Amino acid sequence: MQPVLEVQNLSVEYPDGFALHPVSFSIAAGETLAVIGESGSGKTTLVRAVADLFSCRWARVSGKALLEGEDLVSAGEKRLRQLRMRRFSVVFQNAASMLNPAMTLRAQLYEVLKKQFPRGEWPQRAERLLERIGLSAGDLDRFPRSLSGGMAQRFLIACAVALSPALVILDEPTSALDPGAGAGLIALLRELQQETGCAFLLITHDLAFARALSDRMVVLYRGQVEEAGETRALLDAPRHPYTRGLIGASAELMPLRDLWGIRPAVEEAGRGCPFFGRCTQSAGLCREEPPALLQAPGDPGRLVCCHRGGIVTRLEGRGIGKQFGGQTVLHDVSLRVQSGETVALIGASGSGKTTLASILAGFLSPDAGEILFEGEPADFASLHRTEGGLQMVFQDSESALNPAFSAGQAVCEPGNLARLSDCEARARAALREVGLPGGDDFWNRRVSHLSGGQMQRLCLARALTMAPRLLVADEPTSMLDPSSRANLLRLLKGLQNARGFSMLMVTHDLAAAAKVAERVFRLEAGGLAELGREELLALGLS
Amino acid sequence: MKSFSPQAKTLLFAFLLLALFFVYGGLFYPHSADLPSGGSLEEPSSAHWLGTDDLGVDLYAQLSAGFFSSMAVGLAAAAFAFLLGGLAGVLAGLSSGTADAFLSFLIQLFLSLPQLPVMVVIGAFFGQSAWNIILIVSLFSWAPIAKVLRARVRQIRGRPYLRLAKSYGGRAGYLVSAHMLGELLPLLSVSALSVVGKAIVQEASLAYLGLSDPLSRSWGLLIQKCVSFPGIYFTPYWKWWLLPPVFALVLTVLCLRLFSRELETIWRREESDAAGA
Repeated sequence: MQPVLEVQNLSVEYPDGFALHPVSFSIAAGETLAVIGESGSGKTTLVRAVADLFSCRWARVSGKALLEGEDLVSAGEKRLRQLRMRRFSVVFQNAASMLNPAMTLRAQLYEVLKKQFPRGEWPQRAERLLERIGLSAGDLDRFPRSLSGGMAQRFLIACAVALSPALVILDEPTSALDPGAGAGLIALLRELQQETGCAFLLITHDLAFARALSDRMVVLYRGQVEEAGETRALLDAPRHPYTRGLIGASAELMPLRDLWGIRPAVEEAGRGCPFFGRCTQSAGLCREEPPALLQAPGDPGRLVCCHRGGIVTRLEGRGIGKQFGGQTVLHDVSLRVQSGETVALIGASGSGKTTLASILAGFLSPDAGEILFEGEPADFASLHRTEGGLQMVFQDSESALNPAFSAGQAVCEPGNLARLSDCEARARAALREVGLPGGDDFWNRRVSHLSGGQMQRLCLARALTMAPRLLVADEPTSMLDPSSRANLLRLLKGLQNARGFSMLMVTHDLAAAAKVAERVFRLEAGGLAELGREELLALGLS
Repeated sequence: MKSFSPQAKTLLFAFLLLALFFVYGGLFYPHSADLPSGGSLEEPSSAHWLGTDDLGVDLYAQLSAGFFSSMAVGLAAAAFAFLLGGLAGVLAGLSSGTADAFLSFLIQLFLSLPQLPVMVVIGAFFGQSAWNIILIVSLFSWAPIAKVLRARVRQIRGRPYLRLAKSYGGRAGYLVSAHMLGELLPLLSVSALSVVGKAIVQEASLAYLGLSDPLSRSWGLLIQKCVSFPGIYFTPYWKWWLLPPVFALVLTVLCLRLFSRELETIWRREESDAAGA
């Protein structure tokens, strides 16, 4: 079947540089495609390019946008005028300002209807349309200024579907709406789509709205498609770091979790990947060469634009088994930790959480199974002693520190042994990062004279001096009071957001786990089960 | 070991008095320990504080010289035992598998050998010199130290901070010097101190059996000479000839042993305090 809209290598060039890199996608009849992205990602440029609404000619548009097989980009203004409203229409953001304040709704709707229908049908059609979208026929004689934002929005939608076009482009339809109106809008749009069979191209930064309405999704960043795929799958398991960042910043999608925006760029993107500077897993190649949008490894329905094939799996344990004294503690446990994510491991005491964490961190050898670090069998000896490797923070921080050492000596130890050059500066920075004083007074204090909470943070600082790519933390907040705990968790999450390390956190504190972890697993009877969002919500509320 | 208990202080004081007494006899007392300075078998007097022996050599001077010789043997043996026992103990504690099994067997072997007969045999075989005595005594003193130390190292090395230090790339030398030595040294010192007393007694035993250097002035030799004097117990000479070296030996060894026991107690208490803190 021919798609309603097929965009082929559509690009837009402004005089000061590319605004839209070649973009390709297609929409079938009755389907909704959402284009999401931060502001400035090129969403509106895309709409303008598709609908050929560029008023000034200095924006150079190339490529094709085939509407039912007919190219809109090369079509002349005359042909476009015929197609607009009949075969495609656009619902702009800021609905109220798109209406002529001096005309009644009736007059404005007639302007649309007159393109296709004889004068005699107008009143009847107008009334039916207005009722269809939830306004009354009496509203037709009102002026736009007397409408609420939601009503104006609905009226614009009525205009857009008045001539039953094949494609309706919705540009930020929720930006002016309150939450309740959003839900109503979703229901209305669904019904309209079922009745008319039209396709929607939804442009939005509202992920919850996009999730509810769209079938497929395209993620745009700086004019480049970073990821594309089925909406649900894409939002549940993003493959591109940018997508994950967007989801992490969405309060609607993450009702339990803390909000974190994507980190600001540490380095300006040059010729390479546009996301390079903000990405926490960028490699040398990403700086030099722009990646191509390719099928994600192991997922045929997903396209991802990343040199590293999307979010990297940092640590993978496969079929891990462990027995103690004839008793099976772990049986065939498999767990993945991706780059830049926090995985929480919960479970009753004695369920083997610490055992599993120790095995995955290389401090205990499993009876069965294998552990891969970034795709290679993990060489723990070198991972533990090199910068950017794997560090573990033990549960009992007191026994993890030599009581005769000074705080500075303890926190410097791994750096000294790894012969890092700026070891002391790093150590002091790490101390400040975990909220301990970096001054000489604390530096010279003996470990045995520190409080439990200070020791716990010292252990954490010690692990952080090695800038690990994976941090395994066993109950990192058990010794802390609620305020310190909140600070520390936020700090860890903030560091993670900025540096992109992965974290496997063992905890019995479900509420905290739900706050910071992307995924939560429960260990029970030697097996592992992932807790879904709903389960977490239920547990978190009870 | 910042603060000694009153008992420890008393013992240390008593030992210092004893040492002072012998230092005076060795350095400032006018009579020689080797040459006759009076008549044969004189009674204690102001000239000869403890009298003279059968050859007319002053007994106080001999006793003082004996202190130095006994202490030298004891300290040297303790130093050897300290080094040997420390090394073997740490090595056995750190190693695992065959190496540990071998070292443990060696330690057990030396612990279970009947000491005196073997010492007599070795002493007779190697000849009579002070160094041989030191070697023999230390050969039989390192094993208990090594055993205690091995257990200690094994206990320490399982601690998380050591496992972490090892994971950071710390080698055995670093682990021992940076993390373990602070805890091992007190244990090692106390164990070595107790060797001093033991070594003095063993040297005296060997000397008494005539296996020591016949030219040395050790207390064992002094006792042996006196006891071998025909009919000593039918004369009053034993009172100033035999009793002083026996008392000197008993007192010195008692002070040393009790002091090292006391140090051990203090050290254990401090340790449990630190663990409980």
